[in-house]
Formats: sequence, structure tokens, C-alpha cells
Amino acid sequence: MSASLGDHSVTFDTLAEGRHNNCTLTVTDRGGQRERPLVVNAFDLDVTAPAITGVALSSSALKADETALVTVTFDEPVIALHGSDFVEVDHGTLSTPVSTDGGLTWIATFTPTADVEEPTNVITVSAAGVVDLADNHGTGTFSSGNYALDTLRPVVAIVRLLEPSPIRVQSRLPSPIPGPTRSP
Amino acid sequence: MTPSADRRPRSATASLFNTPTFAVTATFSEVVTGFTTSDISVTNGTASDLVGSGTDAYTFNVTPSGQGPVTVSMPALGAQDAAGNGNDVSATLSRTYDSVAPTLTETTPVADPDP
Repeated sequence: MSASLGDHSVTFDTLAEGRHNNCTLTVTDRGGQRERPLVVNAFDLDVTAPAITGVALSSSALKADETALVTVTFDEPVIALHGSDFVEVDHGTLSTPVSTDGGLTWIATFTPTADVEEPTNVITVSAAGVVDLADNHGTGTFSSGNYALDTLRPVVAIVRLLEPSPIRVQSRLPSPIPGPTRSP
Repeated sequence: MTPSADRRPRSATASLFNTPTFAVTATFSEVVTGFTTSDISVTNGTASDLVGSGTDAYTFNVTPSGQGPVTVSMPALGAQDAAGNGNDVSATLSRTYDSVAPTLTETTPVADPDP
């Protein structure tokens, strides 16, 4: 901590992170006279970047018409997580992430692409675009575990075996055909 | 001039048949399970003798119940692939069963138009 004459600000550079309560500033003049302590409002010190600690899907194998919930967990609350923070989403789309616990966990719905058979997929989230409550920018990325997709339905063709050739009918009549007899 | 007969062969369409049963193949786009005769929809007939399991090609017989059109199709979701996806509905195979022999119904002599 340092201060000099005429300054109107005080810089704290050795304080630990966390909540600081009941702080006072006491100024001693050159004559050794101590002023009455100044009361400082309580404050929180946070200089740590937020990081992602988990990206989890509610199902690791999806078939046609199924969706999964994707839960992204941070080590501290962040203000917002956007779709653009999901830097890789294989064979599917995500809904807008929503947090119901103040920003610590975020949940989005993953909808796989139709007619896909792909056993290896991953979702990767970047923390670079998020900030915590102290405006520290996040760092790092985190990838989900693998999930398999098979959204392709089987189709079936039904054909008759040994389809016969067209039936041929040959007329068998005497020639010439006797006509009716005329009376003389 | 004497009356003459038309001697050109007559052709009938291949959709007609007169045998008691006919065989049908069902070919899936991928390996399926759970396919039984109860998954086959037949109008004016019944399906039986389904052969094949686990593979993508099955055969079965269709026996008509009466004269006339017989259709064979497979509704959706009767068979499942490894992931549990049910099949899409198939196209319909349609054939006409006619086992009645033709009979002569007209015996009236026709007058020679040019005696």
C-alpha cells in the first residue's frame, strides 16, 4: 500500500482475495499526529479469471427425435454465456443458454441434426467471452465427453420375388373360320 | 371374303397373378431387429413364413383372401435399428389376384359383312 501527498487515491496491492470488512484508514502526519480513522465500506476483492469446470450432456447417445440438456459449470458465477461461446457443436444446434443459479451453471438444449450416423461428437465451450461479477474475463476452453448420434431411420423396400413376365395369350382358331352358310 | 380371327398375342399386365401365394422381400437400409409378420400390413390377404433375422433382407409369403387387389406395406416403427430408430413407412406393393378361368359367354355367329 502506498500513498503520497496530494493523492486522492490509495492503492492496495497486497490484499488477499475475498471479502474485506471493517476496514479503516488511519493517516499519521509528519508530526506523528494520528487523524481519526476513516471508515472504508466493505468490499470484495476478485482478480481471478472465471474458468469452466464442466460441460456435460444428459445423454451420450441420441437417436431420432431425441434432445439432450447441456450443462456448463463455472468455478464462479459469470454474467452471461452466449451461443457464440460454444465454439464447437458437432452435428446439432443449441438453444440459448439459461442460468437459474445466478450464473454458476448454464443449461441449453442440444438438438441433433436429422439423418446423421456419427459415433464421435463433442461440444466445446470457450470462457474467453464471459466475465465474472468483478469483470474478470474468463480463460480456457472445456470440451464435453463424447456423444454418439444416430438420427437416421431405416427405410424398407418391399418387392415381389420372381415377378412374372407378362402373360401371353395366343388365340387358337381354325383358319379360315367357317362362316354362316348362305341359302341358294 | 371370310371372317378372320385376330391372331396377335394378347398381353396382360404383370400386376395380375393367379397363384395361391406369392413371395415378397423386404430390404432394409440397415440392420434391424424386431421385425415380425405382425409388422406387415396386408389388405385382402395374410403374410406368413417370415424368414430373416438381424440382417437387412427378409422374405415372406402373401396369401390372398379373395379375388381382387392385394396390397402389402410396412407401417412405420415396426423394426428398429441398433440405436432404436423405428423404420419409416414403406411404399405399397399392389397386385391383383385373379384365379378364375375365363369362360366363353358369346356364341352368336356374326354375319359375313361382305358375302
